[in-house]
Amino acid sequence: MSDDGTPLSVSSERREDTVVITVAGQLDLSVVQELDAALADGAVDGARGVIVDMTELEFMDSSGLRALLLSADRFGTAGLPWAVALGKHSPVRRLLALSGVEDRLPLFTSRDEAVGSLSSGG
Amino acid sequence: MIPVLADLPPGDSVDLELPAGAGSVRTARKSVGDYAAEVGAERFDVELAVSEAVSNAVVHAYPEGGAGTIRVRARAVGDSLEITVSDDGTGLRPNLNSPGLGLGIPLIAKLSEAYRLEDGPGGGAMVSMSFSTAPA
Repeated sequence: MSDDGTPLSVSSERREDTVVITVAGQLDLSVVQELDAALADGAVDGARGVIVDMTELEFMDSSGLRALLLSADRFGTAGLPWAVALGKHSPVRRLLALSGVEDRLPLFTSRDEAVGSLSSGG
Repeated sequence: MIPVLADLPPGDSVDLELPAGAGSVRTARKSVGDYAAEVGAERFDVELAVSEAVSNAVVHAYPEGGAGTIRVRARAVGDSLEITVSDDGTGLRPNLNSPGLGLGIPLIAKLSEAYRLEDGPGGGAMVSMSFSTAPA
C-alpha cells in the first residue's frame, strides 16, 4: 500500500435480485471509474434494486458525487429502486451538505436500513 | 487578501511539483492534509478543497492532452494556512464540454475562508485558498 491513504475498494455482489455495491477507502478522480463501472447499466442489468454501501468510505470529492448523481437520474428514469448507506457521522456527509444535494440521494445510515428501504418499497 | 507564497519567508511547508494526471490528486491531498493537521487546520475541509483544485487542473488545464505540471504549495502564516494550486495549462477560460458538475470552485468557496482564482504567473491557472488554523 502506498502512503497516500487507504486505497479505494469497490466490490459488487448479487443477493437474490439486488445488487450490493460496497465502496471503501478514498474516492477521487483517480479511481472514480471503478465506481462508474459498478453502477453502469450492464452491471445492474436484471436487478430489482441496488444498494450502495459507503459506510466504510473515508473520503469522497465531487467526482464521486457526480457518479452518484448520474446514477440517481438513470435509476430514477428506469424506475429502479436504490439506496445509499452512509454513516451518520461520515465526513462524506459534509460534502453532500455543502453541495446541497442530500435530498437527491436515497440516504440511509446503515446497510441494514438501506436494505430495509428496498424491502418496504420505500 | 491572500498572500502570495513566493513572498513569504521560508519555513516548514508543502511544495510539490506533480504530473498533471489523476494520480496526483491523492498525493497532493494527502501531503497537504497531513500538513493541515499539523498546523491546526480542519483536515477534511483542506483535503476536499485540494482534491477539487487539483482535479480541476487535471481535467481542465490540458484539454488537448499532453504533459503538464501541477504545483501545490501550502504554508502556515499567522492563524492561516495558505494554499496555492497552479498549473501550466491553458489558463482560465470557459469549458463548455466540461465533464464535471461544476462543483469544484463552489465547494472551494464554501470550504475556505477566502479564495482567489486567476491566471498563473507563468501561464495556466492558479487557485489560492486560505483556511483558519486558529482553535475553534
